[in-house]
Amino acid sequence: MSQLDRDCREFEEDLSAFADRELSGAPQARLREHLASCASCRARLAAFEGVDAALRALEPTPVPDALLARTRERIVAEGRSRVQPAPPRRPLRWLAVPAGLAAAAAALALALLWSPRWSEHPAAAPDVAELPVAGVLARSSDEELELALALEALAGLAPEDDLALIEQLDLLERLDQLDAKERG
Amino acid sequence: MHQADPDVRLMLALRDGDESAFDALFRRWAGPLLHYLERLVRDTASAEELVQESFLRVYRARERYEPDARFSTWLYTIASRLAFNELRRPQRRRPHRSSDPGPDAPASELPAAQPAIDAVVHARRCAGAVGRALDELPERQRAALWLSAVEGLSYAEVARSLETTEKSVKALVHRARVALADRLKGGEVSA
Repeated sequence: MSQLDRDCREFEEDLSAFADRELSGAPQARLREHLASCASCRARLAAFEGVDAALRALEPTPVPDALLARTRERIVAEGRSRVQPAPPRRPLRWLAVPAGLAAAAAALALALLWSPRWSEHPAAAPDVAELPVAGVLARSSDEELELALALEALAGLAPEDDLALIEQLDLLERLDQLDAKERG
Repeated sequence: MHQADPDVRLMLALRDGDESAFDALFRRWAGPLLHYLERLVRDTASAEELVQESFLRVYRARERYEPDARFSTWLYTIASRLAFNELRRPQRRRPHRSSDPGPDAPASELPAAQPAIDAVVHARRCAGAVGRALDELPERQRAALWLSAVEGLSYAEVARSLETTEKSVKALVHRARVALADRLKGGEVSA
């Protein structure tokens, strides 16, 4: 592999960030210097910009005129139902999930983020095989990334938020299902 | 912080009891939100329901709203959570979208790039195929690329909306772009 090829690989992810105007300072200067001498990366950047232009050219579906009125109706209906006493709530099994699971999830997310795919320092990555849900990682790379992101989200949830709670329960259930699948 | 954002000002007005501010926010954001959600859940009817649900959550949260981010970032956070939950629902309806241009030809049937054609015209020609290729990406990649490339959110804002890190967003956006560019290569979307 030539030095130029190695440079191209090194700059690959920065090309996207550059297209998004997210690259600045020294990394941007290095990429600009590389682009000046690399036709292949210039073509790659142009292809990325072409993808973005095509995405922006997608025609939006018009918002139905009645959608606001329907949303308003739901708000009114919800306001009415609030004045009635709420039925007693069944205890949620997942609310009793030990903090250890959330900690393990957070550790796994960190392990994945530090793994060679996402880090320039692979030696720093913890051994994911030691983690309790490591079995679920032996899948496609996209699923790994999905799970890592979901677990990351789980680690940062605010428990007082009702949306966060729904998400938390859902993620824990997914973990449970994946874990059961691995065992079974 | 963020008080210069006109949407934040509307949200603060709603918090203070101005109901017309809700309608104004809906009219400003229902369109972009529907466009995003439709791409994410790949079903127009579900996307419309999620728009309603997202705004319902906005209304419910109005009294404890704090302007610690742009309104749009907060709205996309709510909508993304709802959409990801919808996508994980076991009995989802079969995806159907009303606005896809043309027949459902595979992305590889896209006409080849012609440098002489005006970039806008070329982008429009490619849009249907890129849209179909986008539909096949993993949901987080779809969401990250859309919010960044179409909605113009910064990586920090996308990270907040998808409740992840900027580093993950950078990786997700890049994976998505590479997948789309490669998928449409030969077809091809490259400019």
